[in-house]
Amino acid sequence: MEKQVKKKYNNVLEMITEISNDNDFNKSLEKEIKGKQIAKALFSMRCKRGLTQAQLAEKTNFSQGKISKIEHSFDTDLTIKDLSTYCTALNMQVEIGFSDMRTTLVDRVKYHYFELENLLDEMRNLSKGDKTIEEGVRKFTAEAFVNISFGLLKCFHKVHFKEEKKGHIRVSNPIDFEDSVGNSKKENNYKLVSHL
Amino acid sequence: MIEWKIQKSSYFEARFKRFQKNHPGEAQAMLNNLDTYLTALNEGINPVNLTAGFIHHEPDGIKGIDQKGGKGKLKQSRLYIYPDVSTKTVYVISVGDKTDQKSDIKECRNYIEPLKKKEKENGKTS
Repeated sequence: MEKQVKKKYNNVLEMITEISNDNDFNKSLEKEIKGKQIAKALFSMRCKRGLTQAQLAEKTNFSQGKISKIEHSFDTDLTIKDLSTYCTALNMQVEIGFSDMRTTLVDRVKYHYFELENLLDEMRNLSKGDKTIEEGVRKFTAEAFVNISFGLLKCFHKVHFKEEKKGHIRVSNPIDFEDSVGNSKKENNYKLVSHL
Repeated sequence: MIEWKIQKSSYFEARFKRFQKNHPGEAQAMLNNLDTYLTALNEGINPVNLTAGFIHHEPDGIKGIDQKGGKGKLKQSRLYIYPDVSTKTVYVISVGDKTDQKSDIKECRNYIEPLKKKEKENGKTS
Protein backbone atom coordinates (compact mmCIF):
# COMPACT_ATOMS: atom_id res chain seq x y z
CA MET A 1 0.00 0.00 0.00
CA GLU A 2 1.18 3.50 -0.82
CA LYS A 3 2.56 5.46 2.10
CA GLN A 4 0.15 8.32 2.76
CA VAL A 5 1.39 11.87 3.25
CA LYS A 6 -0.08 12.91 6.60
CA LYS A 7 0.03 16.71 6.44
CA LYS A 8 -3.37 18.39 6.33
CA TYR A 9 -4.02 21.73 4.67
CA ASN A 10 -6.62 24.39 5.43
CA ASN A 11 -7.26 25.24 1.81
CA VAL A 12 -6.37 24.49 -1.82
CA LEU A 13 -3.88 27.34 -2.17
CA GLU A 14 -1.95 26.21 0.87
CA MET A 15 -1.64 22.71 -0.60
CA ILE A 16 -0.70 23.82 -4.13
CA THR A 17 1.93 26.35 -3.16
CA GLU A 18 3.73 23.51 -1.43
CA ILE A 19 3.69 21.25 -4.50
CA SER A 20 4.03 23.72 -7.35
CA ASN A 21 7.15 25.77 -8.07
CA ASP A 22 5.46 27.57 -10.94
CA ASN A 23 4.90 31.04 -9.51
CA ASP A 24 2.83 32.26 -12.46
CA PHE A 25 0.47 29.30 -12.07
CA ASN A 26 0.20 29.80 -8.31
CA LYS A 27 -0.51 33.53 -8.68
CA SER A 28 -3.11 32.94 -11.39
CA LEU A 29 -4.85 30.29 -9.25
CA GLU A 30 -4.83 32.59 -6.23
CA LYS A 31 -6.30 35.40 -8.33
CA GLU A 32 -9.09 33.11 -9.54
CA ILE A 33 -9.95 31.65 -6.14
CA LYS A 34 -9.88 34.98 -4.32
CA GLY A 35 -11.67 36.76 -7.17
CA LYS A 36 -14.66 34.40 -7.18
CA GLN A 37 -15.72 34.57 -3.55
CA ILE A 38 -19.27 35.76 -4.31
CA ALA A 39 -19.83 33.05 -6.92
CA LYS A 40 -18.67 30.41 -4.43
CA ALA A 41 -21.05 31.77 -1.79
CA LEU A 42 -23.94 31.68 -4.28
CA PHE A 43 -23.13 28.08 -5.20
CA SER A 44 -23.10 27.06 -1.53
CA MET A 45 -26.42 28.78 -0.85
CA ARG A 46 -28.08 27.01 -3.80
CA CYS A 47 -26.72 23.61 -2.72
CA LYS A 48 -27.80 24.23 0.87
CA ARG A 49 -31.36 24.66 -0.34
CA GLY A 50 -31.10 21.45 -2.35
CA LEU A 51 -31.79 23.18 -5.64
CA THR A 52 -30.30 22.23 -9.00
CA GLN A 53 -29.24 24.87 -11.49
CA ALA A 54 -32.29 23.97 -13.60
CA GLN A 55 -34.67 24.45 -10.66
CA LEU A 56 -33.15 27.80 -9.79
CA ALA A 57 -33.27 28.83 -13.45
CA GLU A 58 -37.00 28.22 -13.38
CA LYS A 59 -37.43 30.35 -10.25
CA THR A 60 -35.36 33.23 -11.61
CA ASN A 61 -36.53 33.10 -15.24
CA PHE A 62 -32.85 32.82 -16.17
CA SER A 63 -31.55 30.06 -18.42
CA GLN A 64 -29.55 27.27 -16.79
CA GLY A 65 -26.54 28.50 -18.73
CA LYS A 66 -26.90 31.92 -17.13
CA ILE A 67 -27.01 30.37 -13.63
CA SER A 68 -23.86 28.41 -14.47
CA LYS A 69 -22.20 31.59 -15.78
CA ILE A 70 -23.05 33.50 -12.60
CA GLU A 71 -21.63 30.68 -10.47
CA HIS A 72 -18.32 30.82 -12.33
CA SER A 73 -18.05 34.62 -12.61
CA PHE A 74 -15.41 36.81 -11.09
CA ASP A 75 -16.86 39.09 -8.39
CA THR A 76 -16.10 42.16 -10.51
CA ASP A 77 -18.12 40.84 -13.45
CA LEU A 78 -21.35 40.25 -11.52
CA THR A 79 -24.16 42.78 -11.73
CA ILE A 80 -26.25 43.81 -8.72
CA LYS A 81 -29.37 43.00 -10.74
CA ASP A 82 -28.26 39.38 -11.35
CA LEU A 83 -27.16 39.00 -7.75
CA SER A 84 -30.45 40.34 -6.48
CA THR A 85 -32.53 38.06 -8.74
CA TYR A 86 -30.44 35.01 -7.82
CA CYS A 87 -30.65 35.72 -4.08
CA THR A 88 -34.35 36.63 -4.05
CA ALA A 89 -35.11 33.22 -5.57
CA LEU A 90 -33.26 31.67 -2.63
CA ASN A 91 -35.18 33.86 -0.20
CA MET A 92 -32.03 35.77 0.61
CA GLN A 93 -31.32 39.47 0.72
CA VAL A 94 -28.23 41.07 -0.81
CA GLU A 95 -26.45 43.16 1.77
CA ILE A 96 -23.89 45.72 0.64
CA GLY A 97 -21.39 47.38 2.93
CA PHE A 98 -18.89 50.14 2.37
CA SER A 99 -15.71 50.61 4.30
CA ASP A 100 -12.76 52.95 4.25
CA MET A 101 -9.72 51.44 2.51
CA ARG A 102 -7.69 52.12 5.63
CA THR A 103 -10.01 50.00 7.79
CA THR A 104 -8.08 47.36 9.70
CA LEU A 105 -9.28 44.08 11.21
CA VAL A 106 -9.22 45.73 14.63
CA ASP A 107 -11.57 48.45 13.33
CA ARG A 108 -13.92 45.78 12.01
CA VAL A 109 -14.03 43.95 15.34
CA LYS A 110 -14.82 47.26 17.04
CA TYR A 111 -17.47 48.07 14.44
CA HIS A 112 -19.20 44.71 14.94
CA TYR A 113 -19.07 45.13 18.69
CA PHE A 114 -20.89 48.48 18.53
CA GLU A 115 -23.29 47.16 15.89
CA LEU A 116 -24.14 44.25 18.20
CA GLU A 117 -24.79 46.63 21.05
CA ASN A 118 -27.06 48.75 18.82
CA LEU A 119 -29.02 45.72 17.63
CA LEU A 120 -29.57 44.48 21.17
CA ASP A 121 -30.72 47.97 22.18
CA GLU A 122 -33.09 48.05 19.20
CA MET A 123 -34.49 44.66 20.22
CA ARG A 124 -34.95 45.84 23.81
CA ASN A 125 -36.77 49.00 22.68
CA LEU A 126 -39.08 47.01 20.43
CA SER A 127 -40.04 44.69 23.26
CA LYS A 128 -40.98 47.48 25.69
CA GLY A 129 -44.52 47.16 26.95
CA ASP A 130 -44.93 43.45 26.30
CA LYS A 131 -43.89 41.45 29.37
CA THR A 132 -43.53 38.13 27.49
CA ILE A 133 -41.36 39.60 24.75
CA GLU A 134 -39.36 41.60 27.31
CA GLU A 135 -38.64 38.37 29.16
CA GLY A 136 -37.67 36.67 25.89
CA VAL A 137 -35.30 39.51 25.00
CA ARG A 138 -33.78 39.38 28.48
CA LYS A 139 -33.14 35.64 28.14
CA PHE A 140 -31.76 36.07 24.62
CA THR A 141 -29.40 38.84 25.78
CA ALA A 142 -28.14 36.64 28.59
CA GLU A 143 -27.65 33.76 26.17
CA ALA A 144 -25.84 36.03 23.70
CA PHE A 145 -23.62 37.28 26.50
CA VAL A 146 -22.59 33.75 27.46
CA ASN A 147 -22.05 32.60 23.87
CA ILE A 148 -20.08 35.69 22.83
CA SER A 149 -17.96 35.60 25.98
CA PHE A 150 -17.27 31.91 25.44
CA GLY A 151 -16.37 32.53 21.80
CA LEU A 152 -14.04 35.38 22.72
CA LEU A 153 -12.44 33.26 25.40
CA LYS A 154 -11.75 30.56 22.80
CA CYS A 155 -10.15 33.17 20.53
CA PHE A 156 -8.13 34.45 23.45
CA HIS A 157 -6.77 30.97 24.15
CA LYS A 158 -5.71 30.64 20.51
CA VAL A 159 -3.62 33.80 20.67
CA HIS A 160 0.03 32.96 21.11
CA PHE A 161 1.83 35.39 23.30
CA LYS A 162 5.51 35.82 22.67
CA GLU A 163 7.46 34.66 25.66
CA GLU A 164 10.12 37.00 26.85
CA LYS A 165 13.49 35.47 26.05
CA LYS A 166 15.75 35.64 29.06
CA GLY A 167 19.50 35.04 28.74
CA HIS A 168 21.67 33.76 31.50
CA ILE A 169 23.27 37.13 32.01
CA ARG A 170 21.60 40.51 31.68
CA VAL A 171 23.82 43.55 31.30
CA SER A 172 22.11 46.62 32.65
CA ASN A 173 23.33 50.21 32.92
CA PRO A 174 25.41 50.70 36.06
CA ILE A 175 23.62 52.41 38.87
CA ASP A 176 25.73 55.39 39.72
CA PHE A 177 25.17 56.70 43.23
CA GLU A 178 26.10 60.24 42.31
CA ASP A 179 23.81 60.25 39.30
CA SER A 180 20.85 58.84 41.16
CA VAL A 181 21.26 61.23 44.08
CA GLY A 182 21.82 64.08 41.65
CA ASN A 183 18.67 63.18 39.70
CA SER A 184 16.52 62.94 42.80
CA LYS A 185 17.87 66.30 43.98
CA LYS A 186 17.01 67.77 40.57
CA GLU A 187 13.53 66.24 40.78
CA ASN A 188 13.01 67.66 44.26
CA ASN A 189 14.16 71.05 43.03
CA TYR A 190 11.70 70.81 40.17
CA LYS A 191 8.93 69.85 42.57
CA LEU A 192 9.80 72.79 44.77
CA VAL A 193 9.86 75.16 41.81
CA SER A 194 6.53 73.88 40.54
CA HIS A 195 4.97 74.22 43.98
CA LEU A 196 6.21 77.74 44.23
CA MET B 1 -17.60 24.56 13.76
CA ILE B 2 -14.64 22.43 12.68
CA GLU B 3 -13.56 23.24 9.14
CA TRP B 4 -12.81 20.65 6.50
CA LYS B 5 -9.12 20.00 5.77
CA ILE B 6 -7.36 18.70 2.68
CA GLN B 7 -4.84 15.87 2.53
CA LYS B 8 -2.97 14.92 -0.63
CA SER B 9 -1.63 11.54 -1.59
CA SER B 10 1.95 11.22 -2.80
CA TYR B 11 0.51 9.66 -5.97
CA PHE B 12 -1.41 12.88 -6.62
CA GLU B 13 1.66 14.99 -5.97
CA ALA B 14 3.71 13.09 -8.53
CA ARG B 15 0.97 13.13 -11.14
CA PHE B 16 0.01 16.75 -10.56
CA LYS B 17 3.48 18.08 -11.39
CA ARG B 18 3.35 16.52 -14.84
CA PHE B 19 -0.31 17.36 -15.41
CA GLN B 20 0.17 21.00 -14.44
CA LYS B 21 3.04 21.32 -16.92
CA ASN B 22 1.03 19.94 -19.84
CA HIS B 23 -2.45 21.26 -18.96
CA PRO B 24 -2.17 24.38 -16.77
CA GLY B 25 -5.63 25.69 -17.74
CA GLU B 26 -7.34 22.43 -16.81
CA ALA B 27 -5.34 22.17 -13.56
CA GLN B 28 -6.32 25.69 -12.53
CA ALA B 29 -10.00 25.19 -13.35
CA MET B 30 -10.19 21.91 -11.41
CA LEU B 31 -8.42 23.36 -8.38
CA ASN B 32 -10.77 26.34 -8.38
CA ASN B 33 -13.71 23.91 -8.50
CA LEU B 34 -12.17 21.96 -5.62
CA ASP B 35 -12.04 25.21 -3.65
CA THR B 36 -15.73 25.82 -4.44
CA TYR B 37 -16.50 22.26 -3.29
CA LEU B 38 -14.61 22.85 -0.05
CA THR B 39 -16.42 26.16 0.54
CA ALA B 40 -19.74 24.33 0.23
CA LEU B 41 -18.62 21.59 2.66
CA ASN B 42 -17.62 24.28 5.15
CA GLU B 43 -21.14 25.67 4.86
CA GLY B 44 -22.31 22.40 6.39
CA ILE B 45 -23.52 20.66 3.24
CA ASN B 46 -23.18 16.88 3.30
CA PRO B 47 -21.05 15.53 0.41
CA VAL B 48 -23.91 13.17 -0.49
CA ASN B 49 -26.20 16.14 -1.15
CA LEU B 50 -23.59 18.16 -2.94
CA THR B 51 -24.37 17.98 -6.64
CA ALA B 52 -23.05 20.25 -9.36
CA GLY B 53 -22.12 20.06 -12.99
CA PHE B 54 -18.43 19.81 -12.17
CA ILE B 55 -18.83 16.99 -9.63
CA HIS B 56 -18.98 13.42 -10.94
CA HIS B 57 -20.01 10.70 -8.51
CA GLU B 58 -17.77 7.65 -8.87
CA PRO B 59 -17.99 4.32 -6.99
CA ASP B 60 -17.29 4.04 -3.23
CA GLY B 61 -17.99 7.71 -2.56
CA ILE B 62 -15.12 8.89 -4.77
CA LYS B 63 -15.78 12.18 -6.57
CA GLY B 64 -14.30 13.38 -9.83
CA ILE B 65 -13.99 17.15 -10.11
CA ASP B 66 -13.81 18.36 -13.70
CA GLN B 67 -12.55 21.51 -15.48
CA LYS B 68 -15.94 23.21 -16.09
CA GLY B 69 -15.90 26.98 -15.71
CA GLY B 70 -12.29 27.30 -16.83
CA LYS B 71 -11.10 29.72 -19.48
CA GLY B 72 -10.95 28.63 -23.14
CA LYS B 73 -11.38 25.23 -24.71
CA LEU B 74 -10.18 22.76 -22.14
CA LYS B 75 -9.56 19.03 -22.32
CA GLN B 76 -11.87 16.71 -20.34
CA SER B 77 -9.99 16.17 -17.08
CA ARG B 78 -10.62 14.82 -13.61
CA LEU B 79 -9.32 15.53 -10.13
CA TYR B 80 -10.19 12.56 -7.93
CA ILE B 81 -11.08 13.19 -4.32
CA TYR B 82 -12.65 11.37 -1.41
CA PRO B 83 -14.56 13.33 1.24
CA ASP B 84 -14.33 11.56 4.61
CA VAL B 85 -17.19 12.86 6.75
CA SER B 86 -15.95 11.24 9.97
CA THR B 87 -12.63 13.12 9.96
CA LYS B 88 -13.81 16.09 7.88
CA THR B 89 -10.98 15.51 5.45
CA VAL B 90 -11.01 15.73 1.67
CA TYR B 91 -8.38 13.33 0.34
CA VAL B 92 -6.95 14.49 -2.98
CA ILE B 93 -5.89 11.24 -4.59
CA SER B 94 -5.26 11.58 -8.30
CA VAL B 95 -5.47 13.79 -11.36
CA GLY B 96 -5.58 12.99 -15.04
CA ASP B 97 -7.48 13.18 -18.30
CA LYS B 98 -10.37 10.98 -19.38
CA THR B 99 -8.04 8.40 -20.96
CA ASP B 100 -6.57 7.52 -17.54
CA GLN B 101 -9.99 7.38 -15.85
CA LYS B 102 -10.05 3.62 -15.26
CA SER B 103 -6.60 3.36 -13.74
CA ASP B 104 -7.14 6.55 -11.71
CA ILE B 105 -10.35 5.22 -10.16
CA LYS B 106 -8.60 1.94 -9.38
CA GLU B 107 -5.82 3.83 -7.64
CA CYS B 108 -8.42 5.82 -5.67
CA ARG B 109 -10.21 2.66 -4.55
CA ASN B 110 -6.95 1.18 -3.31
CA TYR B 111 -6.13 4.40 -1.50
CA ILE B 112 -9.44 4.67 0.32
CA GLU B 113 -9.68 0.99 1.28
CA PRO B 114 -7.87 1.44 4.64
CA LEU B 115 -9.77 4.70 5.24
CA LYS B 116 -13.08 2.92 4.76
CA LYS B 117 -11.99 0.14 7.14
CA LYS B 118 -11.11 2.74 9.76
CA GLU B 119 -14.45 4.46 9.20
CA LYS B 120 -16.26 1.15 9.77
CA GLU B 121 -14.26 0.41 12.93
CA ASN B 122 -14.97 3.87 14.31
CA GLY B 123 -18.63 3.41 13.47
CA LYS B 124 -18.74 0.17 15.46
CA THR B 125 -17.00 1.57 18.52
CA SER B 126 -18.94 4.83 18.68
